[in-house]
Amino acid sequence: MPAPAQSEVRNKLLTILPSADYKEIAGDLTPISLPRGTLIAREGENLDHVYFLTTGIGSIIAKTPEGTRCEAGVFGAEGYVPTSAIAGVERAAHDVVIQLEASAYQMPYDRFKHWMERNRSFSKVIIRSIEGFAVQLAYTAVSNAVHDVTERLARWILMCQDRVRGNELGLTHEFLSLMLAVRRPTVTTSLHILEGNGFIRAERANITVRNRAALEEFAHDAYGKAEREYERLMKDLF
Amino acid sequence: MTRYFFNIRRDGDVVVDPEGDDFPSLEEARSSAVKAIRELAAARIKGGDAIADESIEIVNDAGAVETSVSFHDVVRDHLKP
Repeated sequence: MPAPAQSEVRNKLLTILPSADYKEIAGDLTPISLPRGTLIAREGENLDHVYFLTTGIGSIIAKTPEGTRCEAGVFGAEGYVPTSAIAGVERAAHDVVIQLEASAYQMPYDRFKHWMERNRSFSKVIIRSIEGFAVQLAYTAVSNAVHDVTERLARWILMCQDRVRGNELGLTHEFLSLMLAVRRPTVTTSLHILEGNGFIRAERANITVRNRAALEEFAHDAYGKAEREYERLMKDLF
Repeated sequence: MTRYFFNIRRDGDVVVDPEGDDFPSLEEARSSAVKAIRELAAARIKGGDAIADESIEIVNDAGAVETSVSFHDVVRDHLKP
């Protein structure tokens, strides 16, 4: 299969690579569809591939030794996964799972390692994206500590909408309760508040964003800073 | 396993649980509802909001209310006399 043209590759990291660098690595990219629930990486197991999403959303799920799970970070076409790949280690530190059906380009892990060593532009982009992801994780930690659950839900919906085209998010309450590490009735109650304000419409297994600007205003302190930081990190790299 | 829905009733208004969850028994469902009320009540206290006279109605697949857990009852159980 011929390498995908850079103009068609809708992953931020791949699009900002200088075209000569992109051409060097493009032969190692293979398009793949990732249905909801696909485990891209499993904690403790070897990494086979690195994925650059072009649509859809995935989550890094952190698990305690006793089995409590919570989403640590969310990613889409602005990054790559599994993030562990950057360290040159063989094993995934966390589960990485697709939440909303995704399209991606996959690169064999040994080729990713090869390009990290050989192509400075590629490694620069990947390292920037890890910094962007670290900023997201830091804000998630702050948000979990200081914001109430409805604000956190608003932030999370905004982060998901940033990563999909359109305003529909096919997410169940059960899934949201895992993402926010709260009980399901808390999700029901918080969705009801957001819906009552006209920000969203919540249906069975679907959330529609109706008024993004108002939702951002509601989330105020919980959303936006990490996103602006990502934009800054990804600007004027070359 | 039986599917139970946790509808939240407040002032004659009902916030419907569209999904429900599977439980081995009604008792387990009730215990889960109590934990959910603790979480909701704690968040309201932390946010400086009042805990209204609400309840979680545990509804079966046929739509019938099997039992109901009151927010006030759950909070009262945590008050030391």
